[in-house]
Amino acid sequence: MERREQYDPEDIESLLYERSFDELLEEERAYVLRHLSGRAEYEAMRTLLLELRTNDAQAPPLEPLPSVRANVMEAFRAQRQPQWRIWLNSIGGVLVPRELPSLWRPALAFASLALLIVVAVWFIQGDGASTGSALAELKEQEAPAVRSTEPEATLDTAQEAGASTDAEANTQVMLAEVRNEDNAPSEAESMVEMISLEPVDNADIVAEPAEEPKKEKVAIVTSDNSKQEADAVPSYTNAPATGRVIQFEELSRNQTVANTEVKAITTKTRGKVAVPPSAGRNLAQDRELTSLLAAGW
Amino acid sequence: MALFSKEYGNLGDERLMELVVRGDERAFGALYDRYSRRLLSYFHRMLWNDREKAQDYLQDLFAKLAQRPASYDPSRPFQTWLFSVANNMCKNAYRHEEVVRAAARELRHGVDREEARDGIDVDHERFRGRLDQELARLDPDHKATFVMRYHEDMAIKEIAAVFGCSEGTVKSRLFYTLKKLAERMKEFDPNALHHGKA
Repeated sequence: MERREQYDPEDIESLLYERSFDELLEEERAYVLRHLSGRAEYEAMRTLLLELRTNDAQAPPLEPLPSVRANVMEAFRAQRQPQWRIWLNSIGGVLVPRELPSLWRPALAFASLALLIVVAVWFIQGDGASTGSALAELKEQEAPAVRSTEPEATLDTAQEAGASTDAEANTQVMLAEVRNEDNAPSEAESMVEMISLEPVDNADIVAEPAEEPKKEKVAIVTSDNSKQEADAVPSYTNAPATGRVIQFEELSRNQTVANTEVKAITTKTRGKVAVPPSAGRNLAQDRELTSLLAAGW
Repeated sequence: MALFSKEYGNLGDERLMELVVRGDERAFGALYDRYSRRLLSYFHRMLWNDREKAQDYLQDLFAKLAQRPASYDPSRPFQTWLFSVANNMCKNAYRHEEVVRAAARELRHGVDREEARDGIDVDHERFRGRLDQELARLDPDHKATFVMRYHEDMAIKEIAAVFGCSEGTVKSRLFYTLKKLAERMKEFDPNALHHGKA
């Protein structure tokens, strides 16, 4: 009985096609009788279905008229899009296929296109780079006119750097000497001697700023020659010396007041050789310094 | 495109319709060749066995398809969609031509009689004529369901998709249509019919 419940009218249709009422199994017959009145109705329906099948098989097939096809195709052509749009649509169909396995074609096409674009851009940039290098060469030709001031600026900067380095080194040396020796007058003599340092060539200052302290140590001479050395100082530059010579008495007096004065004197003295503005030189009165600063600007 | 001409016969309906939407004439021709006979037979069954009318409706259907290919719903199988359009056309024909229905039926009888004289078995012709009469009396949906199932050999699922109903509804509709037709055609007794054929 449970199997009968699984039947539906479509199953009756299959039974009608396959078996007559007498050929039905008991359970099938019971199921058929639940939906049909009896054998007569079942056989009538079966005859109808079989006759339909036979009739369709024997009926001459209907053929559409050729004119119908011609008219339909003409209607399609009349509504057809322009040729170039069809071409574009065909391209779109190729580029964006529905089937995933066919995606390698557009992928390959896009990759090739990207490669072409990269190559084209590379070539274009290559031409641009050659043009840019030409411009750079032109700039290099203009450079010497600008460089006419650069060496001075470099020299000035180097002089300043070397001078500051020089002054610091000397100061350190002198401080060390002052602290280590108890004899103040001898230190004062040394400081005076520092004033009479031989002028250091500008080229040496620029080239070897770190070696300057050594040279200065070697350049220290006795106090007897201080005047001569002081006279030699102007040979450092053609500008007249604007600094003043510290006398031994003055130095002794100052050092008596405070040992730290030695440092200030040393710095002040070294300002003649290499000129740190903070060393006490008057910028307005120092033509050399002014000219150097102007060149630097 | 000539390189792909051989593929049209192997392409599915939906793919062909996609090409038709893009303006491919060959795809349109392939679809016409694939469905024109079936649709002509369907129209012939549904429109009172009127061949001329069936030809006209076939042309109208594909003309509509040519003019508005984008009206096709890609989410549906093309065959289902096509037969639903054809069914709607038949419904419109029933609705708007009720006045001339009787006249067309008379004309169809005349044609059938002429065909019967061409040597075809008279019993088959009688049965066919009677069946057509009874089909014409049926509700359009029941008639269309019957024709699709037993003349066009469409599956229950496809018919359900055409009508937008459940498969159970189609099965029930078929069963009761068959039952009703069998009852109305009792005159064709199985034994008598087979005797006649023999």
